Amino acid sequence: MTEMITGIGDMPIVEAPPKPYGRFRDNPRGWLKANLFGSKINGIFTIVLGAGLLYAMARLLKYVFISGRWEVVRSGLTSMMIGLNYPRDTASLTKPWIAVGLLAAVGGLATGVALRRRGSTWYEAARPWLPVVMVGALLASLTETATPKLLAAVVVVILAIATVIGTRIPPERTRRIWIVYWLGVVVAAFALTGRELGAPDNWGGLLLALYVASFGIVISFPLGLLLALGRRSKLPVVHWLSVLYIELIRGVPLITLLFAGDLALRFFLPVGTEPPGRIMRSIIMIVLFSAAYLAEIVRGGLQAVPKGQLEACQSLALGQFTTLRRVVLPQALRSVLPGLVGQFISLFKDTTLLGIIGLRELIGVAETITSYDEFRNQGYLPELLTFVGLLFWVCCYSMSKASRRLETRMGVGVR
Amino acid sequence: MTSETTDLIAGAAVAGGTGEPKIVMEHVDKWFGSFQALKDISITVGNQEVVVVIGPSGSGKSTLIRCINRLETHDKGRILVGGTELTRDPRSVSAIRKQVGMVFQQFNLFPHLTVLDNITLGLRNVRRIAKKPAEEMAMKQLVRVQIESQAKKYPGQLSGGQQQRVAIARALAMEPDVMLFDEPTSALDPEMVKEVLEAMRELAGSGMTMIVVTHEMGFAREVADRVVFMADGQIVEVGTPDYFFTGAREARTRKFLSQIL
Repeated sequence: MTEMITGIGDMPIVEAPPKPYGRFRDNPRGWLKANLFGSKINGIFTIVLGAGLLYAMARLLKYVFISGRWEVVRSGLTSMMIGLNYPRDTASLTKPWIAVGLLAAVGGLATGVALRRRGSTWYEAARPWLPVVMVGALLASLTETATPKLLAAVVVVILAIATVIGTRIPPERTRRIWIVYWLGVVVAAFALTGRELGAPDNWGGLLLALYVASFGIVISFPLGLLLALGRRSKLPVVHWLSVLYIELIRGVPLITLLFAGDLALRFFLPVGTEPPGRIMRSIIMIVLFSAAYLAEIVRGGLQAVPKGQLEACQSLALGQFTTLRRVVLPQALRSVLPGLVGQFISLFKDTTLLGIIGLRELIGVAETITSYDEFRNQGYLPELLTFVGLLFWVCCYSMSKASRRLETRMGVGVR
Repeated sequence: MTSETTDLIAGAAVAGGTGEPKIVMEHVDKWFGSFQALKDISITVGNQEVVVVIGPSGSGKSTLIRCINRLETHDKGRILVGGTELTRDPRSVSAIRKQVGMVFQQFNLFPHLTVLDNITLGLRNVRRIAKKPAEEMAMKQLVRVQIESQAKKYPGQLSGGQQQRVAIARALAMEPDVMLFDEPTSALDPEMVKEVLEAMRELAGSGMTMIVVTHEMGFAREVADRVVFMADGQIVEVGTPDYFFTGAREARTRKFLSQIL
């Protein structure tokens, strides 16, 4: 006779009691009682904070929909996007749109490829684009003529088409697809600057911030990596040069460096050579600055890789470079990804410091607009700065989201 | 020391197995700062021989085998593997590491790579084998340690015993002449020890030259050709398992055996 299994050893199997409250949808009263009014003190907190929150919401909504005078943003939109002095002829104005279109194509392609490779749903693939698309739609709605609205629609179409194309590529052929991505980004950069190397100094606004930040991130990361490796090098000269560089740069505020780059860089160049433009000079200084911080973040990650990993590589006779590339760096960079992205975000926001050396970044543009005759002395700055804040937020939030997705992806199977 | 044991230690220099010497250590000294970890170690391991090294912790067992593939650098004496002398020259180090596989106490699998990629990494980057054949070779070793169904998983998803078997497969895939085991079962839960020892037993049966540092006396008794007892950085006694577990002469050996058996 087979006996029913009623327990393991002396322990009877007991069904877990159902929770007295589930999701809000299932049992609103229970949920409220458990989560918001669990005790007297909790109840008081809920009421006080709730009231404060409602008040703040009401003020915010009033500001956004009633009292805010957003016509100032509408009239200054172009300047906020590309700068006050960016040439306004059709050919010049087309360039940023071409760049945006290319980036949308790359982004869509990447989304499509990821969609297929990871078998995620359309909703999951579209979600990261949500803030960008929403702000994009807001921008399009603020434009005064039909052309930009039309172009924005074209960009969305490109994004969608590229995504569909991405899903059509079989996964086994996407191993080297990152080359296509980078190619697209580089072409986009050249679409902006044409044959000249680097950005001309009449750029401003969001274009300036994004251009400087992208270049800053892309160049300072490998530099920081090299510095981190240099600091851990057994060769004394390499080690001490790296330490010297890192400590020297970290001991100086970015503003000082930007001034130094703006004023003093020419003294380090051979006589007769023209120094690069002001924007390029500031990119150089931001790269040098950021690399020192990145180096220390990466070093933290390198130190966190257990010694046993290196010994396993040695016992397999793996070369030093392979060990670094295939074993050490993937683990080290993964563990410091939040720190790295934090540094990237702060680099992006540091582009506002470029105002100090006379470049018209977003805040500078906002201030200038309030000095125009039609807006002067009427307190328009809050609206403009709110808008600037929104632009910065959407960029930073997207970066932070992207980093968290990357983290989950890289975290597969890690103990 | 009695004259007989002296003979036995001297006997360490005579290769067992097929008689052809595979690993030769001559008067090897190793210092960690002012602490001498190895004192005048001389031993010869023959082709296809299985040598088990036992001894109390801190006696230099691990250091001994870690010197053989240069995870530690010996300070004095000579080490030869398959006729190649281990020197400062990176080419000699690399040549010897290609002949010698190692299994660690903590497995040291690469957590960010799948089981299969753990094994193919060395095949592809050291032996320059293309992806497809490398994966076939890897699968062959996984079958050998009976873990082929886990090939696509990550190490963190496996039990300790499974991880250690992957580590054995990873080392074997490089087709080494010699395998070193550094306390391969010490980090395992008791119920996992058996499966790892089983894989090692199979390996010994296939004629692999092995040096095993372990506390598994059962394994030593059944599989070892010779047992080496170390204490305080020295080889105290060397002998067949029979000799060892029935008639060890040195007081230190007897004391150690009585403590663990």
